[in-house]
Amino acid sequence: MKNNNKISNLTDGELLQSYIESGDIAFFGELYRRFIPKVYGLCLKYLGEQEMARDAVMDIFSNLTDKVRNYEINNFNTWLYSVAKNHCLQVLRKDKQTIFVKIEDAFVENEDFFTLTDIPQSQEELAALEYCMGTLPEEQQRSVKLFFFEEQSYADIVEITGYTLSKVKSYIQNGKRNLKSCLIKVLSNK
Amino acid sequence: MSLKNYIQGKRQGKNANQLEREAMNDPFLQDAIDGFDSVQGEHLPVIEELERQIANKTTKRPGHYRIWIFSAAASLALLLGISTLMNNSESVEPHVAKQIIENQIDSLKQIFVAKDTFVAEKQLAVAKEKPVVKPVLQKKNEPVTETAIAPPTFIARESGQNIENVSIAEIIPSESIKIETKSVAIAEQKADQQSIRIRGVSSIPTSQPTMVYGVVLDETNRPLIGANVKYNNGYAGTVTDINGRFTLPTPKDKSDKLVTSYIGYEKNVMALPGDSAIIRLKPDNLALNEVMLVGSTGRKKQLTGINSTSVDEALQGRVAGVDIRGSRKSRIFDESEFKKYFEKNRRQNICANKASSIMVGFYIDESGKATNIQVINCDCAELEAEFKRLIKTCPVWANVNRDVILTIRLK
Repeated sequence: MKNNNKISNLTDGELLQSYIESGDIAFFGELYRRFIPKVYGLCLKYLGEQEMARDAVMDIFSNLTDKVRNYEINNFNTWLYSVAKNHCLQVLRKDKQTIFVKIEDAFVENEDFFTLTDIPQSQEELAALEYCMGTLPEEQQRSVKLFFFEEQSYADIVEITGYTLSKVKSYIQNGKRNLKSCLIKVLSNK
Repeated sequence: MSLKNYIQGKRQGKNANQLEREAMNDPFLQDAIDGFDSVQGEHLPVIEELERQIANKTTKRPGHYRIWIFSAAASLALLLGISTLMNNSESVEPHVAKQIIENQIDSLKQIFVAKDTFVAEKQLAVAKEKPVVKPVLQKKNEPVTETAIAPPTFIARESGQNIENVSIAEIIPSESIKIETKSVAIAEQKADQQSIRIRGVSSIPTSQPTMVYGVVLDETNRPLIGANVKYNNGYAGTVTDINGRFTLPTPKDKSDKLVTSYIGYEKNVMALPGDSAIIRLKPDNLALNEVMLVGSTGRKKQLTGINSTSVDEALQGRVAGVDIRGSRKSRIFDESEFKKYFEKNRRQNICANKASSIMVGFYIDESGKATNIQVINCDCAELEAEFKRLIKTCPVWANVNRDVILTIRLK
């Protein structure tokens, strides 16, 4: 059991590396264990049902132990995400006459924005941010403020403002987008 | 906060917020959260069971060795048993005996290999079966097929991720959906069209439809292409395709309303249809003429406004070759209309605010423009300048090919 303690202290990357080098499945077991909730949740989303999701989690694991050695993996999280998703899609294609809809998700998350709120780079950016916040419609402004600046969760914001959950999410989404375009305009217009 | 806590319903506070922000940047996490939210059941026990299973497969426990010891003992016992059999019976052929031993050993091996082969066999089975893939069709019209609807799933394609192709198929309405023409509706969303926000994935349908199909028509029953159809709460939205058709996921909030809009038409707000809808839009005749054009010089805070009561007037004279005639009888551009136009658009405070006046004569040519402008009388240079400016920019005159004499007095 001493072995287990040491293993659980390693990072994801270290676990992966150790497994590839030593072939000791204990490393990989620990790594996968950490991702079980995420993989299971994802399978629930796509397969829609507990039994199938459970099977999928185990199947993915079995397939992985080999794949991990054959692919060069930079980011385990991202890689596992695509492997798991593809597995679910494959299952769907085979088992049922599922219909797939290809959708472009235009609400791309903007990393720039995230850094701006966490670590304002300069007085200039702070001022720009303040100004742009002021340009937002009230609901968006409130929601963004509560979520990013006051670190309230969605459930908290629902309680505070009385907006519905889906509205809160969309206010935050649209608010982010509007802020982004405002900031770009202001900061590039020097 | 860990995902496990969030699943259990601990959604309040800074920690929950942190997880939610993480989910914004990690689609994997977002999908997982969606999954737990969309499927009923006690998930935590399942997760714990899965963790146990994985741990069993990957850690060496002392108990493991017992199995090998047992197997060794068992095979030994068998061998002994068979050898005694051999000794006792003279009729048993040596090679038969050998066969028996080999069979026993094989069956023992199988017990321990069973677990692995099961997995391997399952993988083989998965690989062997051919997936039922429907090819992407460019055709828009096909007879309705009899296929039953399986749970429709919405997979948002991530940008910037190395995810293999999500296949595209057409959407086949079931027999129960009433759409005017019996053709297959295809919703193909192009990258530059409006985005679709999908919140959740529908679970296996029982009696509830999980998609909303529809078509948007104008007042002549012709399909409207590119009309905007969305839910009031912002849950999802799309544009109609080349056949005026659209598809949207059914929202969980049943009180949500479907809003259809299109430039030049009145907005249509309706309650959620069951599974299909035919939406007819009425033209909005006022919209175009009430547009105010605002131009920008490019500097941050300065805006020049071209105040115009009608788009046609504003465009008139600006665009070469564009000749817009007023559509309403009351707006025939003539002398009195010009006087109004002059008064509205002239510079104020000219001629030191004196009641100056100007008399001019000109000819309205074929194209409705004033030519050959002669100033007959004028007592203020600024007034003359303003007249000359505005006679050029004014709308097209209605009655053409005639002489006009005009007197304008400043008020």
